Amino acid sequence: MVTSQRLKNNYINHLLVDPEPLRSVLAFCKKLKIKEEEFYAHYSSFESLEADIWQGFFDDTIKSLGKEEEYEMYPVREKMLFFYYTFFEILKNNRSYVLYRQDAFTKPQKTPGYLKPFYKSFKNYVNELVDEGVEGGEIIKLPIQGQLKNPFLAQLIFLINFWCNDTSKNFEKTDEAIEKSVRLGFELISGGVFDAAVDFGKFMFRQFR
Amino acid sequence: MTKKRQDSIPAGKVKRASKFLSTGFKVGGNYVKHYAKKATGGKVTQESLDEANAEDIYGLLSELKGSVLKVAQMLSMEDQMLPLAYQERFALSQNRVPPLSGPLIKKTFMKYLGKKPSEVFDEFSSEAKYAASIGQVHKASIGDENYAVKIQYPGVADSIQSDLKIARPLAAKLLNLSLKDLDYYVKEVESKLIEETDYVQELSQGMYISQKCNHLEGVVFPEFKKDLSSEKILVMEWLDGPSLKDYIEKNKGTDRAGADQIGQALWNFYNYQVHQLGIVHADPHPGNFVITKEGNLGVLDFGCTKEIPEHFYNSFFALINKEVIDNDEMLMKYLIELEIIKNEDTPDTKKYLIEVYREIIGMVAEPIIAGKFDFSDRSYFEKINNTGQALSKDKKLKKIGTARGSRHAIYINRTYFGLYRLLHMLGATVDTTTFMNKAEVADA
Repeated sequence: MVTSQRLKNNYINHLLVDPEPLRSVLAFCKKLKIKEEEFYAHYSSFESLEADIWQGFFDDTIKSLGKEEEYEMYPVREKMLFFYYTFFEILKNNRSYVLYRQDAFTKPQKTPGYLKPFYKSFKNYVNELVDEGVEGGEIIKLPIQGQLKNPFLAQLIFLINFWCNDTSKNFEKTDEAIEKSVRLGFELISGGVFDAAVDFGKFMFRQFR
Repeated sequence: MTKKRQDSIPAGKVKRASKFLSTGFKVGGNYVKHYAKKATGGKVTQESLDEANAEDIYGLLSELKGSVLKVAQMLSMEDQMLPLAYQERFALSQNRVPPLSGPLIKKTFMKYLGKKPSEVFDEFSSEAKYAASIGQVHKASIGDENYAVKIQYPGVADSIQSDLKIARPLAAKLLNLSLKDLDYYVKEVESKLIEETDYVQELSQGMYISQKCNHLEGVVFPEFKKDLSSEKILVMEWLDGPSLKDYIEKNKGTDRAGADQIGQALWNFYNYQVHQLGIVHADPHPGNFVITKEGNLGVLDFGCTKEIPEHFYNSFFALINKEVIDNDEMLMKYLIELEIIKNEDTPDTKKYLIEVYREIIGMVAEPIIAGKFDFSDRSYFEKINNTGQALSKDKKLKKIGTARGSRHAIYINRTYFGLYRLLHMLGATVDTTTFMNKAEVADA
C-alpha cells in the first residue's frame, strides 16, 4: 500500500520537475505504478493532497514546538515568534515548492482551496494564543475578538511572501521581519490601539448609516 | 520629560525616513516657538530651546535601533560639540532598546553553534542583563564559571548604511557642516560601525589588546571564549562588580584615593595603547567598564578600536608640546599635516586658524603638559565648554567654512574626550606622563 508521504513527495516532484501538467489522478497513479484506489484511500483529489502538504507543514511545526520544554513557559508573544521561526525552518526544506506556489501569497484575495485547511488550523492556533493572552492579561479583551484572526492571517501571508522574496543569507531578513512584525502586532493588541480604532470605526459607521 | 514606552520599532527605510522628517519639523517648530516667544518679549534661553529640541530628537532616536543609536551615542560623548541639553538626552539613549526575543536567541544559537543556549550552558538568563547598542548581554554559567554572552540584533550590519544616509542631514545640521564635507567623516564612522558588527573581529581585537595590556597594574580583562563565539555571538568571562557609571554615582567623591587609583588605571590603559600599541579601545564609555571588588578596572566591549597611523600619530602628538604651540611656523606645519590648515588657504585664514587652534590645543593639552592634573576641576571643563560654544558662534570661523581635520582625528578625539569626561566624573587626579613616548619634534 502506498503511503500518503510517498504520494505527496511524488506530487511535488512532478510539479517542480515535469513540464507536463498532470491530466488526471489515473495518469499520476500510472506513473507511480499503483492502483487508482490506493490514491483515493488517502485523498479524494489533487487539491486534497496538496491541502495535506500545507497541513503537514503546520502539523510538523506544532509537533516540533511540543518537543521544546521552554515553549510552554513563554508568554504568548514569544510563542508566536517561536511558531514562526519553527515554521520557516520547515518551509526551508520545501522552498522550491513554496516558490512555485508563491502566487497564492502575492494575490491573497483568492485563496486556493488547498490552503484553506492550513489557514483554518492557523487561525485556530492563533485564537488559542489570543485566549491565553487575554486570560494572562497580556492582550486586552476586545469587543470583537473573532475579528482578530484576520490580521494574524494577513501577517502570516505577509511573512511567507517576504521569505519568498528574501535574498539574504540564511534568510536573516525574514528573522528580522518576524521579530519586528510580531512585536508590532502584539503591541497593537496589548496597548488598546486596536480597541480604540475599532471603537472609533464603529462610532463613525453608526453616524453614516 | 514624560517617559514614553518604546512600543514599536519603525521598520523599513521609508518609515524611518518619515520619522526623521517629523523630527525635523518638530525641531523647526521649536525654533519658531523660540522666536515667537522672543518677539513677544517672553523670556527664553538658548537652554530651553536646546532642551525642547533634544527631547524631540531623543524621542525619535529611542525609537530607532542600531546604527543611529550608535551615532547618538557618539554625539553624546563629544561634550564640546553638543550643548548640555543634547548631552543629557542622548546619554539616555544608551540603554533603551527593545530586547531580542527568547525564540530568536535560540534560533541564533542553533544557527551559529548548532545547540540551544540550555545545551551550551548550565544556566542561561532569559532576560538580558544589559543592552549594548547593537546587541544585548545575557549572563550564563558552566559549573562555577560565569559568562557574559553578547548576542547581536538581527539586521544591524545590514541597516547601517541606510541608517547613516538618513542620519546624515540631521548630523549635518547638528554639526553645522555641509553634506559633502560630512561625507568624508561619515565614511570613517561607517567603516567603524560595520567593523563593530563583526564579533569575530571584536574577539580578535579584544584578545590582542587584553594580552598586550595584561601587565598593566589595576586593569583586568575578561577571558574570551573563542570556541563559543561567532559573527553574532560573543562569549567572555563575566566580570563581577558595578559598572563604572554605578561606581561613580555611588561614590560621588567620597573615596578620593579609590577614584585616583581607578583614574590612573584608566589613564595608563589608554596611554599605553596610544603610545605603545598604536591601536586603541576607542569607546571610553562608563558602561564599558566595571570595578571589581579588588578595586581593579575591568574592561569590556572591544567592538570599537582605532588603529593610529604613524604619520597621524607623529603630527597629532607633536602638538602636545609648549614649544610647538608657541611657535607659529611649527604649529602651522603640523596643522597642515593634520588637514586643519590647507595650503590654498589665504594668509589671513591661516593666521586666524593658527590663533584659534593654538587656544584649543593649549586647552586640551593642558593636563598632559602639566604632567599631573586634577580632573575634578570644574572650571577647566567649563572653560572648554565656553570656548566651544563661542567658537560655534564665531562668524569668522563660520565663513571659513569647510570641515577641517583628518578623519583619523574623529576616533582619537572621541577617545580623549571620553577619557577626560570619565576622569572628570570620577574626580580623579592623575599622573599624565605615564608610558609617554613623545613624538619627535621635527625642525620646522
